[in-house]
Amino acid sequence: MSPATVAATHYQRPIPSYPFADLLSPHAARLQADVDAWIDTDYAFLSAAARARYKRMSIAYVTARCISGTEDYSHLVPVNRFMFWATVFDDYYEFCTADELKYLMGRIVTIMNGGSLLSTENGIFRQAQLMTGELQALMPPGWIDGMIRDICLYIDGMIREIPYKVAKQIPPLEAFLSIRELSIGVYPFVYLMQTNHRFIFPEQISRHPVLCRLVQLTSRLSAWLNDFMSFPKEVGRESEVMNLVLVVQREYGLTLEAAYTEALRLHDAEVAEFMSLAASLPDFGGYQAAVVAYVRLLGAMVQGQLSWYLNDTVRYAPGGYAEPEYSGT
Amino acid sequence: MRLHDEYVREFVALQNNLPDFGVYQHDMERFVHYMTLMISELGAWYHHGKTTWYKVPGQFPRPEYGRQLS
Repeated sequence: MSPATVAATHYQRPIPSYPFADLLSPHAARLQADVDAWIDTDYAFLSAAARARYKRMSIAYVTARCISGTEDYSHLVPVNRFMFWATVFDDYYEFCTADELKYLMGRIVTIMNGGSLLSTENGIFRQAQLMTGELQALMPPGWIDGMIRDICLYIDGMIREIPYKVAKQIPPLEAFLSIRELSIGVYPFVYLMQTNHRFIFPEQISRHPVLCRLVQLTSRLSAWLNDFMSFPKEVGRESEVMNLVLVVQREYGLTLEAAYTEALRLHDAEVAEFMSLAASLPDFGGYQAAVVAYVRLLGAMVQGQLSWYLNDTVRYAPGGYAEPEYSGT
Repeated sequence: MRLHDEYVREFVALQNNLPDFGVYQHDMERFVHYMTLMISELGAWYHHGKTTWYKVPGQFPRPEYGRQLS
């Protein structure tokens, strides 16, 4: 059976599809070997079960599929390090309080600004420090500030989810859309595309409304894709309230099936908007070719995640999911 | 009009769901409020202002660059 057929059988509902390029870096296997080594060292504080699940997850293949525009292996190392770091951070601290997450965010910011590790801090903090050092060496002065900013957006998104998760209360649609766009953690991941220096643009380009909207859509599509692909897993888990299908269901008072269809329609409308914007980019002069390549890679980032779900991981199959292990102090 | 009203709805929803901006929270709320005034006050200028541009046919200025004028 093709991966798509397996998926359709497993997921039992239509899954998203994209008109985007389906790419894979030639460094995938080497990046995965790196992740395996980090699991056995800095992440050894995790339970044996979590470590085994993470190894089966082929998380480096997300890096390899989504940031294939960075061709240099040494430039991909910190990107991959971030990808796995965010995955562990998301799982491990899933049930933190807001105050605990604010503290953690403060520590990450301090470390990324050059602060020292505390002797009590686990490998998550050391990996953040390693990643920062690698990026400081590779990227222009001051670039790291944007990475810190986008990591804070991601953790802030996690913090804003907490009241809903604690109360097991499905949020209203608009609150959910703006929170989930951040908590999916794609903003720092897109920022890391600049590890191919061809995609470091002057501000009047990087802050152009069209590019900002395309990056926002990349974040949102990644979130909705994750919600569709994890839907069978999450429907059974009481604590999961941050899912587009469940939010749409509550917002409009629909059946689960009608909500799924409506959520897919919302998703598809955003894909259409992405394509429309990509097809009518402004004139960026000498940067035009680079911007066109960048926008193609934004789409490939979303396709890459779908390809990873279909080809590389057992994460979303029953039993594949790593449970949150942090329980305070 | 429906497209326009959708954007209004989204604006209001975002305004009602601002993130926690810490010590800047009050300032951010005012900043967003003043954004709404930019829109509503522009509307007031169209409807209640003294300009005749939008009310009297032919009253708005024409582009003159490069044209022969009598």
